Amino acid sequence: MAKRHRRREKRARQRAQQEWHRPARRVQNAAAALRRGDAADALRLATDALVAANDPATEAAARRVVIEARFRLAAAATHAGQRLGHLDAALELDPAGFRLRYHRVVTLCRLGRAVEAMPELEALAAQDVNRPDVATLCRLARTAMEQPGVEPQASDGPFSDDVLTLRQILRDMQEQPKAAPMAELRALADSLEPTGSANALARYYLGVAAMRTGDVETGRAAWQAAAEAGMATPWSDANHAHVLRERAYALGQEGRWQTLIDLLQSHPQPTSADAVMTELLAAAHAHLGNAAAQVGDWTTAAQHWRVAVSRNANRRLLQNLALADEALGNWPAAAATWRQVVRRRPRKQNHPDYLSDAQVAALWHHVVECYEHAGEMDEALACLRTALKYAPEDLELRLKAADIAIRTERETVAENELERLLSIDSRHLPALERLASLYTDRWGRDPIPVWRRVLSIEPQHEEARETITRWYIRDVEEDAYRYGLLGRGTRRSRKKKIEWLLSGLQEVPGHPGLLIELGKLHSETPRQAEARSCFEQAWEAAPQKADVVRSAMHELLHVRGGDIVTRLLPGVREIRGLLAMFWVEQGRLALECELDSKWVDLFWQEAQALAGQRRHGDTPAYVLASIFDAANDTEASEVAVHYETRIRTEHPQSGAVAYVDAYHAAHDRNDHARAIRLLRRARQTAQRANEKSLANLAQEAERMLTTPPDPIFDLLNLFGNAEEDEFRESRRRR
Amino acid sequence: MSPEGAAKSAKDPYDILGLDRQADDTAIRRAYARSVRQFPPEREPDAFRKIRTAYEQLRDPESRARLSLFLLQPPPPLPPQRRVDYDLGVHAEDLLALAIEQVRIPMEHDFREPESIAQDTTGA
Repeated sequence: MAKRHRRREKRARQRAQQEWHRPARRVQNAAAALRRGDAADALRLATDALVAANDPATEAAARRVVIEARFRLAAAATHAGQRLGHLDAALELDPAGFRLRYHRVVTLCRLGRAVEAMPELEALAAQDVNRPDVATLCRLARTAMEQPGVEPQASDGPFSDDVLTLRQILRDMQEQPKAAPMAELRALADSLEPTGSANALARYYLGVAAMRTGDVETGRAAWQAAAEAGMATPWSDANHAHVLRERAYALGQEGRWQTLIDLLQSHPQPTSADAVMTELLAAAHAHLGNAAAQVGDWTTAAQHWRVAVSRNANRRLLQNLALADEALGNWPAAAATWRQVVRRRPRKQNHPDYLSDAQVAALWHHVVECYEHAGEMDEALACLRTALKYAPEDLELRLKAADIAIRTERETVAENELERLLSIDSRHLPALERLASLYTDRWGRDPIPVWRRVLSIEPQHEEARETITRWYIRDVEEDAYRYGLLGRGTRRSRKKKIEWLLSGLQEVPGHPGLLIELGKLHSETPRQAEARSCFEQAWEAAPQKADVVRSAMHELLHVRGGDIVTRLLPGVREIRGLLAMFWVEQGRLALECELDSKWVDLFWQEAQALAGQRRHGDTPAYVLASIFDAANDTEASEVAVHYETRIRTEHPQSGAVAYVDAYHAAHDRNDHARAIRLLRRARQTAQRANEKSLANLAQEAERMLTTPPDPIFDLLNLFGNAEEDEFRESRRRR
Repeated sequence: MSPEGAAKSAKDPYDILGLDRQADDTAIRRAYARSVRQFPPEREPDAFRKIRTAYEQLRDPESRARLSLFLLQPPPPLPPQRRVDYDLGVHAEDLLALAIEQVRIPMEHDFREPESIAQDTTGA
């Protein structure tokens, strides 16, 4: 029951709402608003109804209400300009409306636009309307305009004594330009109806009289009062604007910028129309902006400068605004403002603010930086190209253009910019470096000639040396993959390869990579001494590079270069940041290649000695566990057992014991579940014992065991072409 | 305030050397010499470094011009004050307006009755 009742109520509400929105209903409501004296609401409702009206009668009624509302709003307007606006709007709907035209004429006369009003007044008088006041008005206007000396007659209308007195005073003032009857005018201004135009006139001419006597303060006050009473003739507006301007100047000279702004903002009409006042307002905001910037208040500074720029788009103001936007991190706005700074620069060379091409380029470069901050790289590149038009020889700019083009993956643009740069300076190293890198990634481009150019400028250029070396070595290595009758035919002999690497060494003298490769080639021949010499040279060329030392040391042991290793070994201990794993790996390699076991022992002793220093997470337990792994990898079970025993006796609480047990569970008993449990225990124990590296080792082993076997890896492994760790890592990344 | 913005305002070389923006070569050289006497390198090395950097930025007219593009600019001066010619005459139009004000029919007399305006709305 209640539900039905609620539904009924809801429907009733909806109907009422629909009814309210019907155009005809809106007209009725507008009329009601008029009746209660709310012309503004009536205008709103009737305008809506006029737009929505769907039948001629409603439309006509709505139009009538709109006109009436406009008329009443005109009657209520204090300012004659506003009144004229309402009357003009009403006349658009009813161009022939007599009362509208009549009061428009009266309003025009009040605004001092009698010349404009006359033809309309004549037209109204010619209409056969029962309005004797129109004829009187017409005659008065004609008299005033054509025969200024003729006075209106008493029969012309119900002139009050005050009005007649005022008229007489004004006539006297007209005839005597120095007459200043201030007392009489003030008395009249006080006695006349405050809202009437006679009062506004009395106040205005009180101001005129005061100014004639030099009483500027009284004059200003009187003109202000006249403006407030609705005086809006062109001459009163002009005088009022002069007054405002003078006051604004005085405030500006005193540095009272906020008061100046308040003054001008209280008179928006004269300010917006007056160029000088607009400039004054801009200057005031500019000063306040600078004051705010001095104390680091960039938000306020930006607000003031933005207003100043909207009033006077001066280059210096724009510059300050752009700097404020930068300070606030508002980079897109800053970039846009800097662009305006460039656009608004004077083009005549004799102008004090003229900017040279270099300065214009510098500004465009700055725009680029703003866009870079904003991450708008397309805009940045476009602006850089504009900058380059003004500074075509600026290599730094051109290089930056290439960099941005590379970052935005426009390789062709980047290549062109770099080529152009190199045509200006063929030995520009950064450009050559970028071009070489670009060529490395581009199909059909050969970076080696570019790297050779780099090397010719800077023989010790690290990247150029490395790249050229890799290129030589790759060429030798590629021979190994040439199969078949044709492939075998194109393979080079060892002699040719040696010659090839020797030519590489001429180009990149003393490069350890090339020396090691050359040594390897020699080691395959009976010329062991030459191989030893190459490995020794490589070692001595890069004694601080662990990878070079590792290769050289290992290869030397293959060619009976143990004495050289012994001699150079102390230098290895001096390698900065060397990890114990270096020695563990060195021992593993020696074990794998079945070199003399004394070397394995020596390397692993070095590893344990280094672990004793506990640098970079190396600990004795971790190193022993790693050696245990290495020994098992190379199937040296006796060695593994030796290190297992040491782990169990020397580091029982480190987690290494559980790690070793996990190894046995996985490999000897094939019990992966137990191995995983033990590895977790190893990790937890290691963490408790602050053995971070060991914990990571256990975690990594656990991950290997918990990751399901990959069939693709097994397939690749069949061909012996996959490293499990690398493969799994690449799969994980994907 | 971003560090860049702050840096720009704090490192205004004109401020460091106590110069105004219109300073010419001679004024810059004099200001530098005066500042160095005030902050000799052996006693005030940090202050001297700042002074030297500011001088390096300003000594060359081209770099000075380029620098001025990215420094806060002083506010514009007040526009030149023109002589004000007040219109202190009596206008015939005002006399006419005064007369008309007395003769005209007040607007309120020309108001229409709302009922008569809105009565013809069919379907209302």
